Amino acid sequence: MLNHVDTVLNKSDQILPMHPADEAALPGLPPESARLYAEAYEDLRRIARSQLARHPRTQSLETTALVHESYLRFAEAHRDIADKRHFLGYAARVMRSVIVDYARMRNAARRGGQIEHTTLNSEILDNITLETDVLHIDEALNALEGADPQLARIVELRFFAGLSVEAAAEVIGLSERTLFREWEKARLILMEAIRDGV
Amino acid sequence: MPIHQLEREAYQRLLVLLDEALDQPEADHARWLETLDDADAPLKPYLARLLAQRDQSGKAARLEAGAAAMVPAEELAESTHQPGAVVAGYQLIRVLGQGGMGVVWLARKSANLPPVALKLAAATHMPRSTGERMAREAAILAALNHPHIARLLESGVSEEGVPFLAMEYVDGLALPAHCDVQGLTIEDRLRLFISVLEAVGAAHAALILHRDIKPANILVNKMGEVKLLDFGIAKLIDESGRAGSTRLTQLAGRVLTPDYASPEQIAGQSLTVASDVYSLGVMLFELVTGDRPYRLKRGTAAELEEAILTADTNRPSNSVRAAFAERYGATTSVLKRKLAGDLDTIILKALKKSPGERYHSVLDFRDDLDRHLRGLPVRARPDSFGYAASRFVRRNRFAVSAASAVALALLFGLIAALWQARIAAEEAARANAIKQFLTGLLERNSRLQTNAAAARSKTVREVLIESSEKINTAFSNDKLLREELSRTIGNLLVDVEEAKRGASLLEEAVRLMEAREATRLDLYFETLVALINAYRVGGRGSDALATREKALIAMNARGDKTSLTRAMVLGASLHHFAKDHDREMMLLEEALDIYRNHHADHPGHATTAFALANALRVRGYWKSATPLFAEAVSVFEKTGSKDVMLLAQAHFWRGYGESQMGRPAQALPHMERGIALAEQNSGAASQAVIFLRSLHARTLHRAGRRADAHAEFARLRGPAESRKQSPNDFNLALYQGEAHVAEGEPDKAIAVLSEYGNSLATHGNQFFPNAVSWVTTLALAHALRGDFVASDRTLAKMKEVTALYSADAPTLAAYRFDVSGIHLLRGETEAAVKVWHYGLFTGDVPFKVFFESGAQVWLRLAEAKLVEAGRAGGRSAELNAEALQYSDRGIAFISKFASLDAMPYLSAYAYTVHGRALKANGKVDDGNALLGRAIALMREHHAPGSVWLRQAEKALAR
Repeated sequence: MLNHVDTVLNKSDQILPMHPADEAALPGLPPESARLYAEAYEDLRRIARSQLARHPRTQSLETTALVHESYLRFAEAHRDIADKRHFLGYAARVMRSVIVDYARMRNAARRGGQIEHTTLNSEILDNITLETDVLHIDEALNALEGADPQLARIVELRFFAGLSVEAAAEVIGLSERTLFREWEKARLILMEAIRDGV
Repeated sequence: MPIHQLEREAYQRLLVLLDEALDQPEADHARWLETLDDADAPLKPYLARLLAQRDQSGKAARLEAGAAAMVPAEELAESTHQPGAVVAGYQLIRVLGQGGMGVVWLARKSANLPPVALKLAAATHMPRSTGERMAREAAILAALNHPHIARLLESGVSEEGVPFLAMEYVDGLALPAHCDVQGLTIEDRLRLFISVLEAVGAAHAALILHRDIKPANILVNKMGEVKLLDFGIAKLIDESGRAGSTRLTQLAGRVLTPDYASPEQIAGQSLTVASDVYSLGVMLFELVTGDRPYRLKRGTAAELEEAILTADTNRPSNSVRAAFAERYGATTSVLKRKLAGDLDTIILKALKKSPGERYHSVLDFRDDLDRHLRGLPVRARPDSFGYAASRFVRRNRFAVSAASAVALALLFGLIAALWQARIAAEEAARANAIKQFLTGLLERNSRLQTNAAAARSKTVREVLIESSEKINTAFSNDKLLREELSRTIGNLLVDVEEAKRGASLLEEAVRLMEAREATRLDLYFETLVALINAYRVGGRGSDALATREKALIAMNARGDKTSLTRAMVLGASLHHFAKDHDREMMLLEEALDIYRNHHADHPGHATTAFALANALRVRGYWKSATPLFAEAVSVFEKTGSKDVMLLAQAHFWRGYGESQMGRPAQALPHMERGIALAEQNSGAASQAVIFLRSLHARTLHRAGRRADAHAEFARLRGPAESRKQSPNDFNLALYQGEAHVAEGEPDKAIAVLSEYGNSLATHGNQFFPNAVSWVTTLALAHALRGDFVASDRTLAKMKEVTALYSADAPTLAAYRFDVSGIHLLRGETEAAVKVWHYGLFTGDVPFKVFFESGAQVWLRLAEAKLVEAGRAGGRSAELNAEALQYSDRGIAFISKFASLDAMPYLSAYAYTVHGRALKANGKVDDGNALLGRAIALMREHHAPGSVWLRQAEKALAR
């Protein structure tokens, strides 16, 4: 299982959709900071992947800890430019790419006919549902991004990075109450995405 | 329409309205929706749907848990049962498989009944849907009763409340694995596949779509019977012929097995029987080629889905993998020929993107395969015009001679080409005129054909020549038409080896294009390429070179660096006409570069790689040439080139290159494949094949397969009394003589080589190095017998050879080795060393050029030092130490490039020299050990009275 996940994850490097210097990922960051972020990016991906490989059922709590831990490491190294809000937003984006790639690859590996005939395909439907949900959410999020980028950021922070309402509010710069409302709105859209099968 | 497909403005408005709604108490939502004005009315259903989500607390909880929790581990349902337990009256034997939904056991009801596959639902997080699904599968299976569908035996709920299905247990392999394990021929595979089609057809007749057809679901049992399994996601077809679209079917349709999924499945549209037809087409494709219809770069699911939806399907005949062909025990080209034509057409019809263009039913699909197996014309039609012609020719293949078949095909092809070129309505009349012109010619010729094959074989030429003569008068007032016909017929004339007439027509086409100032068109360059080719085929080197320069200058002016035409101009093999071979190679390299980067799948890629490899080969650069031959082979196979002889040579030289680089054993399979292809093409008795076989026999000997090599020499040369001297027999005699010298039998070598003592100039003129080797091998053989007079007399013949070729023999590695050996036998150590210093032998060029010479130079130097040390007295210690250094390097050189065991003759020699050097330096035990190894090798591979063996034994005794 571990080996399998490893190959899947290594493969996912090749289709990584996001470049560290992606401007959308780092709005308004000066170039020298962008470079440092790019370094942190590798760090983030690495620990995120090993985390997923070790504990595929990682709870959101652990994801949050992961993101914070990675921030602390970053802040220690680059005290001068460390901006927690930026960093967490960025980290959420990275988490999204890692998780989505992971789900996509698992999905692909499973669909690739690697299952013994006796397992009878219908049986794996249930597990697949969860993974494809992640993929559908990702797709819905891409669309949402065009209409309301901030709302998409909120989804990344809450859903992908597992940040609390309070922490997410701090990153986005909204009151907790407002953020909660926004999240509630986003949630309806995501739920709709799951049902629709996008 | 899903929300994510909304226009941006609409989406933004939707979000604003959603905000507004959320400000209201939940109870008021319905009323609020009614208050929306007309402009927002289209968004109403979306809002209603979104707001209804609020009740879905389960989903909300999942979202709150976060994404990471949504990518679960590969959870397997824990089996709550143990082997031996009895469930629903079945005794469990062992687990066959596990999945999220349950466990499949091998189980049996009683000892006298056959075992069954018992599927038990496990308690999972979705127990209810599991039970539902199993009930549905049971209902579907119960409706099916077909010998090729695994039967449902029983279903229900066990005493402990576990839903179960008992199915026929199929003990066997998936269909493709079965075919490969059994090594089934294409025809056998097709016959099995027809059973699959019948099974799926039966399901369709019962209004059931399988929807997940793939190899894992089609097993072949021990009796060789096909069994279709797993109707787990099958769906009943409703009366409109489409499968109903429920949540489950949507999910399954989109999620499962994209490798075999149809475009409409990927797109999430509703499915018909055509979807199963498509999946079956993918399977059949894989079954006969070993590959999938799409070649993917990254292999991701997204890329595959994209390919299924949009990419052109590869032709099966172009997709045969070498490894697959090997398993099947054939070459790719043989397999390709089997697939090309009707099988291509049948499979491509099943794989059409649009369901309506596929077979309307699985049984139609089955019928066409059946017709193909029985040699009848199939119903599927390829799109091209050429089909009718090729079908006609094939149906009448015994009635129509090969040549007139070609004539027909050429003419049909010509007409088709002109149709396509002149498709515009205002050109139709013109195209018609051409057609009449050509069919007129053809009819006249048919009437002239009274009978004989000889008359028929003239047909192609005559038709084309006649038409070439009439172009100017028939179309005197239409320059464009004259240009086009000149070009087309000119090309065809070159194809039928009327190079001169072809060239003059193509010259006319070029002139006409220049007159209308069309020299910037691609077509102009294509015409120049054709003209270069015509000159080349006609042996008109200087015209070809001049035309190529003209084309290159014009292309440079156009700024053309990467076009296919440029690659074709550069890749025209004019190597043998040109004086400046370095420049020719540079041009070929540039051509190859363009092909690799821009037109990798063009057949020109293969011919150019081959041409460059060949140029390198002729100059002895095997290290560079060998991978290029390999590249040529792989591109040939990918593009399905028809030039079998070129492919044969590419295989062959690729192998021979391995041998030249010190790996004769690895060389043999490649060489043999090349020979097999060449035999198919030209027959075993052809001189081209004998030439290849002579080098093959030489390689057998180098690899230490002495008996095989000698048997082959004898077979190829035939009995002495009926033997005729020829260049090929000269080569064979030489290789045989070399083998005798290597085995330490100079007498036999002299006997064989002397056959050509008086006719060296006549028959040794095919290949310069061979003529040189003949002289040096014979001279060495005489010297080995101590007959230095005869040896000198033989070496004097070298003048004849160098005069014949106006080339320098001492630049050749074989010359150096043999001649330095002769000098050593005469005790002329200085001369023996000097041979290696001659001419080009500076730096390390020959090391790259030829593997053996790299080792030989060090070993010969070591030998020379040993001889010198033997008579030096006071300085002997120093000279012996030098000798050891050299022999050490010789051994190191061999081990660096090859294995010492790979070339027994070279190795035995190396061990002897090194062993002697070790002993001379006081390392008696080490030296004797090596000499012992040399002697053991020689006893195995040498003649009983081998002079080399005697030498080694003497050194051991000393």
